[in-house]
Amino acid sequence: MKKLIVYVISVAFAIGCSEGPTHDDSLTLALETSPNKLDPAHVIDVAEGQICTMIFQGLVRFSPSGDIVPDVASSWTISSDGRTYEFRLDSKARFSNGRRVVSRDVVWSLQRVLAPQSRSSRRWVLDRIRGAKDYSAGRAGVVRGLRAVDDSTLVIELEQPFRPFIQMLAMPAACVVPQEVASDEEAFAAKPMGSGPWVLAQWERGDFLLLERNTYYAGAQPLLRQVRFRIVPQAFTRIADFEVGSLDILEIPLAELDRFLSDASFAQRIQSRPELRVLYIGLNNTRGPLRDVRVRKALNMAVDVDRIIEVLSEGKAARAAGAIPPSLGGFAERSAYPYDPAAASRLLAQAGYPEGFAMEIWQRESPEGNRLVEAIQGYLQTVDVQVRIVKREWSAFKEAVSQGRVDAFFLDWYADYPDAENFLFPLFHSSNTGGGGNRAFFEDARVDELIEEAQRVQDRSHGEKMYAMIDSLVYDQAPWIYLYFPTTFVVVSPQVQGYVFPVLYLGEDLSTAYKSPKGIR
Amino acid sequence: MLSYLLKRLLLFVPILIGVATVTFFLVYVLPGDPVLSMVGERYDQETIDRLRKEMHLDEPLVVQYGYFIAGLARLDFGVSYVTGEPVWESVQKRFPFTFRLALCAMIISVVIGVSVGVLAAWKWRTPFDYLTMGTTIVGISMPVFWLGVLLIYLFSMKLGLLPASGYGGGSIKHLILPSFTLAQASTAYVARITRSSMLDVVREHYIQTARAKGVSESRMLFAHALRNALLPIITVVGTDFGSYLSGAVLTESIFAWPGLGRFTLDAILKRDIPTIQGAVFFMAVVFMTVNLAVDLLYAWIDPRIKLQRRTASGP
Amino acid sequence: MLRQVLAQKSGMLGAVIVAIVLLCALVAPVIAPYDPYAINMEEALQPPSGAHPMGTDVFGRDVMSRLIFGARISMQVSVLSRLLSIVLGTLLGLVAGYFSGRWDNLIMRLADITLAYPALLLLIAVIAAVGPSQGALIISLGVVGWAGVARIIRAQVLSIKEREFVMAVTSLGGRHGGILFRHLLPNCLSQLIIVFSMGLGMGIMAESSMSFLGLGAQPPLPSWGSMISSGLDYLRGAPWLSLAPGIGITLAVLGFNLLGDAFRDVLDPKLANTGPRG
Repeated sequence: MKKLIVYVISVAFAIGCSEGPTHDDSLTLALETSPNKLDPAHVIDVAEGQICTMIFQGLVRFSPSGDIVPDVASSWTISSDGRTYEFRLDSKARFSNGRRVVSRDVVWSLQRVLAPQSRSSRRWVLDRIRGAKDYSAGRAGVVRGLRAVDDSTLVIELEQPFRPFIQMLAMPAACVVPQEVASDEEAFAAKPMGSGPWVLAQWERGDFLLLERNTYYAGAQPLLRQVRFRIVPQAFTRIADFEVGSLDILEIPLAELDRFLSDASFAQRIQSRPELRVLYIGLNNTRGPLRDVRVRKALNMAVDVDRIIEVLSEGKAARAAGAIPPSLGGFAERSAYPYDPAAASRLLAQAGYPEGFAMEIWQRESPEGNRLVEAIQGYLQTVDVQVRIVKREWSAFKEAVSQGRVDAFFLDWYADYPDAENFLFPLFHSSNTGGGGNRAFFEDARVDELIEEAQRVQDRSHGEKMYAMIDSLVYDQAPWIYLYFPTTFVVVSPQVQGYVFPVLYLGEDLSTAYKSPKGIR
Repeated sequence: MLSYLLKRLLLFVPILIGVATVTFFLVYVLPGDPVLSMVGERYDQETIDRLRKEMHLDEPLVVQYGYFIAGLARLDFGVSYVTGEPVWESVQKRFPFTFRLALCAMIISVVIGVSVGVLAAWKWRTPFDYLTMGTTIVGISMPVFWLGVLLIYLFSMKLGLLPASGYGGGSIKHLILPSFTLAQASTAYVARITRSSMLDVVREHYIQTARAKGVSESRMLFAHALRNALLPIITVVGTDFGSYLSGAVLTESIFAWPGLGRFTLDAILKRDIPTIQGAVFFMAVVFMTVNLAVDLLYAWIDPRIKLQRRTASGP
Repeated sequence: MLRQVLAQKSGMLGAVIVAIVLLCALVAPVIAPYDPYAINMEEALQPPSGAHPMGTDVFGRDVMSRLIFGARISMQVSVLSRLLSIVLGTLLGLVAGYFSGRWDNLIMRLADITLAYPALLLLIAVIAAVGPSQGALIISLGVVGWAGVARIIRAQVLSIKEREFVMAVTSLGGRHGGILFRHLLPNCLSQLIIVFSMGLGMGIMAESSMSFLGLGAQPPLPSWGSMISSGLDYLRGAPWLSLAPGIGITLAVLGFNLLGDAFRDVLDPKLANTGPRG
């Protein structure tokens, strides 16, 4: 019995006291949920994308300032018709097992995503390559538009010219993976390996991920030795962890923004980025009263978005009068629907709803979304639109919303690549209704035509003018209640120097951050 | 004894099949397409159809149930839809974290609960007694997530004594707040039950004589009384231990503890069917094993108790 | 019986707290100083003051009024779900105890399955999918709780079934239904009162836990648990948002626990002074 007690106590208190001292050259960040998969073919959300691009390289990548810069490819040329891309590969590029990255690896990696038996849901990133669709359908043995000319020359041909394609090559789905490791899918999923600045050294799901620097990395070595991402689900706990020094970088929850911004001791240590992300209440343009554009406009006029931004985001967000964020080409200043409940009521009356009507707004559980939708519910109440809030977990939400079974829903759209095309085409083109992204079921032949034309345009400024025009056409139809483009704030601990908060989450690499031992206040 | 044990173990089988079947039909009947949680915000129908086919989701329910039962017989729950990892392995990887937290909570509730209970009985009807009994009933009434937040606020943010969250690679410092939070209710309950069981003995038979005969005698009396309290304490601690092991969801999320409860919660929110099935099944096994162990412990402590008693009439 | 309960100091205290909570629940619209739903963004996050004794939330709603209305939700959920458990559990427990044999076996195995199931996770799974609402919460909580009640009732039935008066009625050819409801059920009454009163505190706790996870009553309904969880985001800047409902829950549960204890002490002195555990 005594032995048993000793054993029990030793198990309870003594197992695994193995955590080494935290190094001065290691950094700890928090994630809300554990990444599901880090295999580039299966990366679908922000946390996964952020870590994936730290471990892997694409032909090109996003710099912290959001520009396309060389990665595995050291240079490239695009033919005048915009269909043929020729890449020169960096001869120094190495996977973290020391093997050189050659153009065959790129071909193999891209074909892996497109392969008929591939389980990737990101084929759309690459299916503009010539012959990609035939290959996916099993009608061809190779992707015709992908050619490894020699070890360091690669040619990619597209079916149609598509200006944002070079940016899509910086997305996780286009990252380069080592064939000898990745051909065993299961092993690769458990221990992904690439040629990026960091190596995934340890992955304890639900607890943390540990990255160490890749000594074979061809670019500048990160200054830190280790980066640890801890999984901390509750916002409150993350704040507590930052305050006691267990986290070095904290994404500030909106509710805490005021406190951090008004505290002078933090002022030097806060960085922000306006996100390429739009928040909106999608209105199903094919259902009930919402079919009427007057009703949709009335809803936009009944919600005081400026006030919501002020109270819920401390004024740190840009009101949306269109779907294209201010930092992208194609954004144009236009006056937003005014907050005017009386006019909104009149519009509703004209449309035949003088007594208002009832509708549902669907959402996923999230602190930010909860507050927003609750505020909107309150505003719509003032024009007699009775809102019932319906919360569902992600898959049930997506199923119902994508099948058009709900009146309205709260959702956001994160840019996969920084081009306005990534907002207009998926969100408003009629071929994308439902799962493609157009969940408002917005259909307009003229808008479709213009989007298709803009995709083919080679001249950047001409294309951007078209984007602005399309955005404005759509805005006039009010397919959504347009909300805002949020800004994300991070605060770094006093010891951390040199950290640059990237403009795009895919641009995170932490390689310039370092820790000063004493900390500079 | 051995035949009893066999009989109880045999009984596990229908109950576990029942638990697994309920889970199977529950997750399939509920709305929401599991494939949709595997893809991003932008997807096409072709991909969805392909994935659904690969996961046998396009087949009739009966056939799917067949696959499921066949897998169950081999204890193979397949791979997670979301992470692609073998479910049974992941469950076993996460269980030790939960076990460690539960074990600590149990030790705390026994050590502190019994000590406080004995002292309160000893100091019956003194301010100490009133104070501890008052505290314990408030303790029982406090929601666990609320207590957890208060403890983090006080001990981490204000006093800076303890880390706010995380497993911390197994350090004891990281264990203190979550295990006290988890142990709160059963500690309070053990204290109350210890005190009252002891008082029963004391009041019933010995109070006059013991008081008269002095300290050494009353020490024996307390030993006797404590034995009287043993069975109810075991019942409480055993039941609680079983439920801690089957997922202290709230405590684990607040303290970012990488245990089985949060693991299952994540699986539920991501509609990861194989993981839900595997985790719930595992928890049921653990829960019943702990119950069986408690019953055996009963018999061992007090041979007068017939083993069949609890099974026949419930706890 | 009630007099005996109130004669105990703790019973009295419990009764007073419970009375306050019930009062809040029943006449919330009369006593709440403000409309708990009226959004007034101009007055967001006001600290406690004369006008708003518990401050205002991020939408400028009066926290005290929301707390008072929240008592309604807590009481509805906990009373109704508990009643549902008791009805189901009593019926099945009576049948199992009285008929024995195959029925008994079947029902008790079902109870085993229910009890072996991780209850909170089961609730979360069901509610996350069918969609959180007050009704869904009441029904799921109620259904999950049947097994515990059934076991207690069955044990009680087994212990009185052999008593003379029941045997007498049976041998006189009494009908099953009559025996069950006229003779056995009344003898389970004190057990039922204990189970019910002990369970109410647990019900409030369960409601607040589920709402804390966002799976209870939906906005704009002011559930205590969801008030805490949304208030936690503002813990540093506006602690009253989470402190008020936290203290509210603790007090309400305390009241029901004290009252439940007192009931049990009176009805079943054997179990005195141990605290709630229905």
